Amino acid sequence: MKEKQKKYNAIDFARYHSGTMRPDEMYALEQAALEDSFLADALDGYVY
Amino acid sequence: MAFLKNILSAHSDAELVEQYKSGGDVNVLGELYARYMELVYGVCLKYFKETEEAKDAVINIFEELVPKLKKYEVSNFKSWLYQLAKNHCLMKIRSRKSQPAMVDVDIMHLEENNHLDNIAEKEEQLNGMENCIEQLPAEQKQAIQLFYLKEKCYKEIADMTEMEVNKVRSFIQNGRRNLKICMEKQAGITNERKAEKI
Repeated sequence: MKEKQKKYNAIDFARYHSGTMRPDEMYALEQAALEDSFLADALDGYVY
Repeated sequence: MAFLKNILSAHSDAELVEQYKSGGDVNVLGELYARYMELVYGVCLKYFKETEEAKDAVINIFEELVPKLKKYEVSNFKSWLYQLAKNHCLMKIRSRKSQPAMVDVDIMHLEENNHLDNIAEKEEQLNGMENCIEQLPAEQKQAIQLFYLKEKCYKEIADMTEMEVNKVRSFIQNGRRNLKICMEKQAGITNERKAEKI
């Protein structure tokens, strides 16, 4: 079994879009979003 | 210290769903909803593209949950909530455009379609994967390789390839889809061969 996914929150999403997230963190979030369309849509939303 | 209570709660979603269904305690539902509220908000933002409506929607979706969760069999709360949230926003947008509101055709049998998303197991089957990567269109292949093999994020890939981030993302998404199809085909062929031997 895969380890339980890190819980992402609004702060992570904001950091992702503001470009203040480290590339490796962005990568991890993107990977998680590819597995979870709920997370992917939410991440998209925080661009607004 | 309500937030501590949330953090410390060791109950799984399924347990909270059960607890809510049997006792009807809205606080239990609140605890469950809090786990996903920021995701719900993000989804609503994606639909409405502005914060006020999205905030209203987060509240309205909770209110919609109160009766609906009692009524429906929900085996995976998270994916059920995701569908509910999307439907809620879509309905809202449709009604705003004063299109004839769709009759509420039971929109709730929408559970469980996220096994489609879960190609994680598939990704473990590295045999055959390289072969499939080779068959991808050049841009998908490049994006997939940088993402999965070099572990570069979209932004880095965009910088390296001088493409827009959105382009990168769609190449990766489409590449994944094609990979999945290709690998399923391969698995099918392998199974056929096995069957022939028997």
